[in-house]
Amino acid sequence: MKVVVLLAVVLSMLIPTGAAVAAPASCQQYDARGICIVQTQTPGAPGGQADATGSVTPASVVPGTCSDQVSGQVIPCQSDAGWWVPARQCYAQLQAVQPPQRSPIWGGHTDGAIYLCTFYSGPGAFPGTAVFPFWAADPPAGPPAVDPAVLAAQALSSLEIPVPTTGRYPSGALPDGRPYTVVNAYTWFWSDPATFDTLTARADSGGVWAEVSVVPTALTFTPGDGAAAVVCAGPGTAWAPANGVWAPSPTGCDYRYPHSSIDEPAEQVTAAYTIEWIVSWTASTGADGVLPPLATTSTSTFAVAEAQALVTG
Amino acid sequence: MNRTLTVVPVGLMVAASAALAGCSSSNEEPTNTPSSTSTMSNSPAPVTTATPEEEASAQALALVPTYVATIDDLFLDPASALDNVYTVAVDPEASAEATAVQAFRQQGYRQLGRSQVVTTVVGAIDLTGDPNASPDPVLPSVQVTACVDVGAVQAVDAAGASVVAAGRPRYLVQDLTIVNIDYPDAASWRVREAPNRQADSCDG
Repeated sequence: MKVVVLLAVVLSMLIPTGAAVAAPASCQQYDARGICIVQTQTPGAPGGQADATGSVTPASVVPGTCSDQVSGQVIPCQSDAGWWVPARQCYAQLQAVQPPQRSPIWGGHTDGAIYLCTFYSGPGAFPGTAVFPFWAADPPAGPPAVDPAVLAAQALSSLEIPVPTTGRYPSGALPDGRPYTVVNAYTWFWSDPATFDTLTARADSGGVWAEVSVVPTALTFTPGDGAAAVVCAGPGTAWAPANGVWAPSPTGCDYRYPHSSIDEPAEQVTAAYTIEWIVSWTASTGADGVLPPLATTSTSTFAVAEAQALVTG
Repeated sequence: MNRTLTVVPVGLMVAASAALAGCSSSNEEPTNTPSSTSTMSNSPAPVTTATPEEEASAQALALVPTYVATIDDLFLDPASALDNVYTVAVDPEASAEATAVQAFRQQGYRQLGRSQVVTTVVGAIDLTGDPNASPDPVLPSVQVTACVDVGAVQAVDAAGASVVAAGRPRYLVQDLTIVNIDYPDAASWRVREAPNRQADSCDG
């Protein structure tokens, strides 16, 4: 079957000036006005992918969106006239009463079915004249499907995931101004609860939406002295004087430094606070899934001092 | 009353068409394509039997001016139904023309004037077919080269400005593939493909 391209006529008629422009050299069929209506198809060339019916999928089709190339309008992908078929630039639906097999619409085919192609027509169109039946072996393809996972990723990118604050106790300052904690004391760590909250965002395209949920699962504290990280299920508990100086954190969000930091660079340690997040999504299509987990981190540098030194020093 | 059908030998018509094709037409009045004719007579006359190829050739040739006029009609009359194209064409040509007409109308363009077939020449004829071939049925076909004068065709937008391509040549030389979707039904010939080229004359 000859491969033809219908897009050329559409694009050529979009020329905004009153004077038409000569058709391209690759034109395979002109109309009486000198406008190209069928352009030679070059495999892989920009402009679209020809299908078995000889029409073309415009290369500019954006997944999940529908547009009428003649008017340039973004239009619904579904209407009472069926689903939008970019290759034919019309809404298509199965013709309820199939014409007899001898009808030329079948073109000699005995398989497939006859569909109604309803063009998007602006005001002033004659009712009923913008409908055109055509044969197709299979239902003509609608707009490129929207991948809800892609939408979810788009939604995620719209979110600003908070980094943890670096709450800690003991948290005094040495005479030289360096912050410190105390050897063997329960060093509480926490993050502002506002940084440890579920976030949601939604993105939609072409009538499909996906909502992403970003849920914090843990606050980890890497003490910076070479010991393993301490994992805390929540944001931790902010220390208050009523808790006392030597008490452990009621939520387990603490770490006891066994040694001073005198042997560390600058006689300090750098602790890392990390909030770990899981990311899941649901879509209006009923699909759901997960995206790779996230982590946001802040650091805090302080000295680990011997308590006695504090008393005597 | 005796009624006798007389068939004009189409082989002569094909020869005439071929002879026409060799002529420059730019200074000539448009010439209608020869077609098979039937006449009624009260007196007995000899009956000439045409071969299937001759019949197919004549029928395909007869379609050409109708095809050109029908496409013109669609551009001329914005109220005409797009599926009228199926009276003279099948896909992919039918869809190509319907899409072009729809885009033309949607832009608010109007056509003035008509195309005129100047010459037609029959090429290859293949009446073998395979209706069950996949993916597309193989249909009996006749190749026709037609030279069409489009010099009288004008088109304007809603503001009255011409939308005819600048420097448009006067003629279109069309390589028509005409198929029969229900062979040997004489009324079932349709244009399936119609690539063309622009020309300043019908010569060559």
